[in-house]
Amino acid sequence: MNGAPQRHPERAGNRRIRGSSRLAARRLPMDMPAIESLRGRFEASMGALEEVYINGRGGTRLPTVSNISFRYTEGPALLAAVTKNWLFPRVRLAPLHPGTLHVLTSMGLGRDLAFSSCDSASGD
Amino acid sequence: MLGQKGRHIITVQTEHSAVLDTCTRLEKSGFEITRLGVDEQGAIDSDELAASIRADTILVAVMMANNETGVIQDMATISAITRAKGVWFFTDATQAVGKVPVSVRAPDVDLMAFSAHKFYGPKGTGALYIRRRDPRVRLMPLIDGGGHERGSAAAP
Repeated sequence: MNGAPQRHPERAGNRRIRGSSRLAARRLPMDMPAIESLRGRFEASMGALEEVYINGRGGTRLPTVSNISFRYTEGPALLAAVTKNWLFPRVRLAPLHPGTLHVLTSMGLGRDLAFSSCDSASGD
Repeated sequence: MLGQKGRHIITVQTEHSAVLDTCTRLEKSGFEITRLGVDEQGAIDSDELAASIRADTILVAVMMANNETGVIQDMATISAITRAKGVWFFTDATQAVGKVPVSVRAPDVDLMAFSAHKFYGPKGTGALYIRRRDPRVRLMPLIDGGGHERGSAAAP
């Protein structure tokens, strides 16, 4: 890891964080509007399907995240479909990450629907 | 020390496990934890937050943006409540930095943590903002043995 002279200079520390912060600040106004627009189109299409729910929609959200529940879809089928067809660079399926179910159940989703969910992110 | 004021911490049911599990650990060592619920949009009720703060409350920990849903909490209102009540406000901004504008001054926070790999930085690194004045926030180091980062980090 490069980026700082500490430990002669074997350890990269604070300067690397500062540099990446500056880069992120510079990229944010360029990247996020386009990503949010794409997310909007994606959710409009998904939301038009029956028994598909966009979780957290209507509130203030990050422009990069979509969390979607598919009622009547079991975990393995969801996994197969997402692996084959999904567009986002990062997808996390609730069946594979049951430790995250508490977020959706706290928002009022039943455990079955929460289990048939995935969250997608771009820009990570 | 803050621990002399009380041992009550407020957090949210939808926090990342890094916070929830830490709170559970603290609970076992005598702290009392209030976990606020959220509405269907994933937002906390600010009135419930205000009502939950007690004389012995020492910290409110609310993440800026949720890692599962992207839901952003009303930081300005939470900050105003905690400032008015004199309780420290910690926010986990890991998901928000690099995605939305983030500042430690507007709204005011006392502690803010974020992880570098979320904004082009190397994995395994991150940063913790600690307010220096009005009020000055001082933390005990997890490991003793060095004066780095103004005594907060030991790296002999």
